[in-house]
Amino acid sequence: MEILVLGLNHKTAPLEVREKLSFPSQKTEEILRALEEKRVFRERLLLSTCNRTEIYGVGSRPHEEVGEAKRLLSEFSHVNLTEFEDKLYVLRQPDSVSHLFSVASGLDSMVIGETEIIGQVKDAYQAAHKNQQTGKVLNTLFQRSFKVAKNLRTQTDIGVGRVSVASVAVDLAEKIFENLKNTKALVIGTGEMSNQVARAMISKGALASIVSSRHYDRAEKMARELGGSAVRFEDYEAEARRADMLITATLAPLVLIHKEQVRGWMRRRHGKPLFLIDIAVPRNIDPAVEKLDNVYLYNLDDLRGIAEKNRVYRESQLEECLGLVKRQTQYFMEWLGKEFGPSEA
Amino acid sequence: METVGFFFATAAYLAGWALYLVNFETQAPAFFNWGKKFVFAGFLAHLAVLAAAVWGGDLRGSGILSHWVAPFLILSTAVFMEWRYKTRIWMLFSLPVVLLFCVLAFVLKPEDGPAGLQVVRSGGYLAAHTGFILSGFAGMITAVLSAAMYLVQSYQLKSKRVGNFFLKLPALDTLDRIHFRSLALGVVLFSLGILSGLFWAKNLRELHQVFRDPKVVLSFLTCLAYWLVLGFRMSALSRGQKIAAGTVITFALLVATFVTTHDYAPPGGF
Repeated sequence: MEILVLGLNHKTAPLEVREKLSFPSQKTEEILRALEEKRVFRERLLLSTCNRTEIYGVGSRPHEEVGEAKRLLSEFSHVNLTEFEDKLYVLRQPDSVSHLFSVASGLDSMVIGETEIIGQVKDAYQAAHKNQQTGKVLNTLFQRSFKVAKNLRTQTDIGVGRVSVASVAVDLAEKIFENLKNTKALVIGTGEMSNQVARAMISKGALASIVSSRHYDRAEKMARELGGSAVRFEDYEAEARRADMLITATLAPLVLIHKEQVRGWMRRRHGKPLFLIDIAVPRNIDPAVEKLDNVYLYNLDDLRGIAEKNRVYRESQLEECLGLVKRQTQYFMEWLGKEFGPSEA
Repeated sequence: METVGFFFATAAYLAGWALYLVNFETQAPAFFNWGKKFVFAGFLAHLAVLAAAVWGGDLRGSGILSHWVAPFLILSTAVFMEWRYKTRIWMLFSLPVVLLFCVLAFVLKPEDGPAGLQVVRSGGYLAAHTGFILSGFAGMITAVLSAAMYLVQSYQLKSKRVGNFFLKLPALDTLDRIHFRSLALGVVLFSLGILSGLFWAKNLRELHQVFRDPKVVLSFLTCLAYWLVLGFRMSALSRGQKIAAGTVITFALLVATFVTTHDYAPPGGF
């Protein structure tokens, strides 16, 4: 008996291959049933996300079972096996065990340390468990993987800091206002970047007003999509006085917001902190503004710099994390040896 | 016995702080856990000696009250704040202040009490005076610590250096709220303490003597300075960095006052 992983991910396969082998939850159940009917593996589980498709199996005939599983993947994806066979990897224990621990912890993700994957692994496990496709080995293995993921997050800084511009902006805002619920954000500009930042702020409970300097209809459309309100450019000054956060992302080749203007807003705010995000190139906010007390100004480079620093910091935690994964793999293999005999482990 | 107990407590606080610092740098949780254990051991020793002093009735006359209750209260408040705001960094800021007061308690003459207290020997005002002064003091120290954290966090946001402190310190709004509430509570209690002390002294017709004590005068001035800081914050004229800096500077003046107006014990003579 052996724990095996057959799959492909963002490291081995390009997007055009991954998207063909990405299965919705309904289809994963069909694949698991097909594997069961063909007696491929004693226990089996299919994990399918946008970045990976992996079959976890417990079997005693690795070569035959893996071969059959490959054929089934080809059949269900309607892609000729020759088109993706070289992108597939097969891992045998203990590598398969440490691989799952790494996957569940986000160490194998495109964005290292991301947390979305743990939810996806849990969903995949629940689906397989519900369909009685898992047994003692996979149940224990996956339960252990959830614990490993939790331990890694609490014992290391693998999840510390955000790695995208929009989420870094939200992190900074939360370090100023504690809670973004009911804070007012004014977004000047309707481009992709301002849309992302506004969306991230609104998802945390901020109330957003969208301003477009030339196309009011665009501001209205964006406000409808995001759940905010649209403001005409002529009225933005009045809104800005009430805003806690101001995001500028216009194509205007000039400074829209000046130091004296912000000084006036701060007087009305009685020194309450103001967060300014200037993601426009060229910049829309006079850099001298950041000299004012309680005004925090970040431009695109600042946000990108922090995101990059966080990414590097997360990567610096990898060694420690992999050490923890290695130890946990050893513990699991010891358990497997005790339960099923040393030859199995 | 008291000296040994307090020495043990101080050493444990120092070791705990060092471990918290190492944890902050290395992020290894084992250092944090050991730091917590050391601080807890020191806290227990501190509590035991104070309890023994209360039980034995020595607290009033020996000067222990003034010197050792203050760091104990600061630490207790820090434990509460760390629990309430789920921040591991509070102790890192509080322990140096606790240690400063512990060191002062060792080097100051044991008979030295806080301003005006030495003359107090009996009366109902004593309990009220002491209670108000010490609670007010703990409140003000909490305000100072939150103000210091506010300044650090604000500096990090301004300078765009989002390091370890940035990640672990609470948000500016949270710190501002803690600062305002603890300052308001601290100043009111401290003022009540001063007032109750004055009433007591008046009863004994010693008011004029109390006012000859520079410590009393400087305590009044400190209290007045904190009322000013609080007044600015309450009237919404200003908030944020300047108010936080005002709180920290006033505290520095208070410590300087405390240190320069006391007599010191000879070396080795706690």
